[in-house]
Amino acid sequence: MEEFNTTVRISGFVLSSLMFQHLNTDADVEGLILGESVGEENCRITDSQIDHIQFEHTINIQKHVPCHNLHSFYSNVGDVSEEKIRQILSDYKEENVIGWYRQRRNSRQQMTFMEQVIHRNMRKILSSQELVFMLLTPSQATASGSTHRLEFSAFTWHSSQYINIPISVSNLGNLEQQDYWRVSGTCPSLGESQAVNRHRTKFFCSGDDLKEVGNINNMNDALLGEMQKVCEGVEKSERAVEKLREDITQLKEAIRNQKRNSEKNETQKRPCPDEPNENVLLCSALRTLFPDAPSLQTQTLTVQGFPVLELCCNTNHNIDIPTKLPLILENQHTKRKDTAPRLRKKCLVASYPQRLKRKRKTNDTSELASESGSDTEVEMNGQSRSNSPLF
Amino acid sequence: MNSLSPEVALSRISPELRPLLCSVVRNGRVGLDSSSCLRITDLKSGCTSLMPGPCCDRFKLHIPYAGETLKWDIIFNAKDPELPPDFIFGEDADFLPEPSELPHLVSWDAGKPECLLQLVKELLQQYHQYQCQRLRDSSRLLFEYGSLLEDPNYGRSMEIYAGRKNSWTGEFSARFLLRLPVDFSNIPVYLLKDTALDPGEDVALLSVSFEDAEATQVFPKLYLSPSIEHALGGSSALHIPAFPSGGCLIDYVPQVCQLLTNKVQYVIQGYHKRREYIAAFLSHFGMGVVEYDAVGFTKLTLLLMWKDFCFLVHVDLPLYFPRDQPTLTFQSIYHFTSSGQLYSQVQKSYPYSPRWDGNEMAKRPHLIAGEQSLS
Repeated sequence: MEEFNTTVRISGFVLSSLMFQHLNTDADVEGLILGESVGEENCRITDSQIDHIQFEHTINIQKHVPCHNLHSFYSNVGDVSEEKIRQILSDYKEENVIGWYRQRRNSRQQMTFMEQVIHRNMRKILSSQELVFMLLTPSQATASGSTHRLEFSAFTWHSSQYINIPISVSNLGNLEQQDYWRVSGTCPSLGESQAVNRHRTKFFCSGDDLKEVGNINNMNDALLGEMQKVCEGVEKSERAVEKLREDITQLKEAIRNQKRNSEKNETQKRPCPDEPNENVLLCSALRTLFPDAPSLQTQTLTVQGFPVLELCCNTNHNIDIPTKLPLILENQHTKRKDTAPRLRKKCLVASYPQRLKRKRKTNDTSELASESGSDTEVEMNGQSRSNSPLF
Repeated sequence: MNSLSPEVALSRISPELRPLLCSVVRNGRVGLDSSSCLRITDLKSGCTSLMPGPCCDRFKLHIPYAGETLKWDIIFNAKDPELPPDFIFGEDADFLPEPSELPHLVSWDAGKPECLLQLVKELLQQYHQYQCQRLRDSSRLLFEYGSLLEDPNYGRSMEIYAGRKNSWTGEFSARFLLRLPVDFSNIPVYLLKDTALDPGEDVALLSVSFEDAEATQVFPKLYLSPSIEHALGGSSALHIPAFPSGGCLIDYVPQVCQLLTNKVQYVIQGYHKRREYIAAFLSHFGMGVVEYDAVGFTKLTLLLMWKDFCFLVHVDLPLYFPRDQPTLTFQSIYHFTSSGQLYSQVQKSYPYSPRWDGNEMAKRPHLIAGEQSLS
């Protein structure tokens, strides 16, 4: 009984350098894979089976050679050109070619139509029958694009079909002791390699630290310093805003108090709305002109025109009459001048109609008025002037 | 699956690839079922996420085939638009066409907008060959295919989809989709015009599904384009016979074809007969014609007088006239029903024969009209 088992192995740094080189390209990329193919035949004899043969085929990927463009070594219909493969390989030997690879973004982990045709044609041209096709398919794992996924696997032709073979990465995962035995012997130990020591300075600082790590740390420190300055600026502006807010509150309080005080003063000055305003000038004038006639001192009349004595103002408003009402004093002075000593004279010369008129008038006003011998005073100067003050 | 409208798909595709895709989404009718357009979904880009759009250059193309929908991935490269596309043929992982037999791949010209569509059609032809070869898993089905292939009426218009053989049960299924060679050109235009959508080409497809390799469970189904279905009286008007037990496609398909042809002839003859009928009525009742359907000849209204009593007669001609008898509706112009409608009476049973010509048919209603007016 025979059993076939194929394994594809790749070291961590070969895989990571392959991924790192192509991950940021804006197109599909492809290239050739170099390495070696090792076959082992294990014969296991058990009690039940005497000839249990197990063929272990291990394909070790040791290097990748990228192509600058797509369709570098084949035509539109997948015809492979050996000449172009040699040009791509340049210094490398064609015998070391164990397959080819392609990175195809946002597509399925499945060989395409042309990839199958190219692989079939490569198998015809290259001497190695166990060619492997390595497919890398990066894609976005989250809708926001914060996480990306890179799947990779190998395909090989077996029993008239392409089968998918997972790739084992050396130094990744829990490899058992015996797995290291299967790692290609051509991979030297890193610690003892002269080549590593020679190229060491390109990657490590004097203190055996990775240069890239130092660069990243420096950038990180610079970013932190910048952030600190920004934070200080924010703090200052926040404090300024707080101070301004306090000032605004105080000003508002002051304005409120001022308003309250002014309102109070206004209410005090404002007289009682129920009480009518008194014309103090008129009151003083009337008192001056008619000191002995209270009925003429009132400012309030009834609807019929009779003075209301009850509402007569008895308050001395202390108005300076000469200053405020000079005309009244002038009028009074004039009246005294004009008025000569009156002679009470019986009006004997008054005609009968005049006498009757006067009689009627006096009858209206007084019951004691008599018909004859009226004491109507007549001004001697003949002018009949009224005693009403002049305004 | 997010199906994109053609405009949305075109707006997201890389500008250099847009003409190719435009031809596919706007003119992309392939295969027998040309009423269904090619659809595009899952537009993605081979560029990094930092590349500003539009830069999509890979998508999934949905292709109707033999009653199934093939979902092929088409992969371009926006950075190299002159290169031909690559394909992933969905679940048919072992379908590997011969590239040299694809002329539009051999001489791919990205400058020709129809290049991609032509390439898809060529791939579809090879896919058809691939499916036919898979029928070798069943000798019975291979015989069905072979016998149909020999008949020129069906051999060239056939799509086959062979399912996966169940390795445990040995069951194998397949579907045959055939385009029936029925002439629809003489169907009156008025019957074809009143469909909501543009149906494209008038076509009748017969789908026969074999659920097992020994053809003991066979399910036929007839698909008509919307205008044809409407012209024949709807989906319920045509019933195809069941697949006979022990029968074969080479006998069954012509039977269905003949049935459909007869139906179409009936509809065409019915149209001409109706026209003849209306013409006869016009010549007999010329002055009394109120109105008639001058397009489909399905209705006619007359104003008649019988002993000073005037009344209307509405004649309705069915689709399958003269097999189906016309309906006469007598309507008074004086009397109303309690619901405010003019009083009318439908008369379906009157002397009638589908073998009468138009003149005879026009004469007979005279007598019927007199009796109805009296009543």
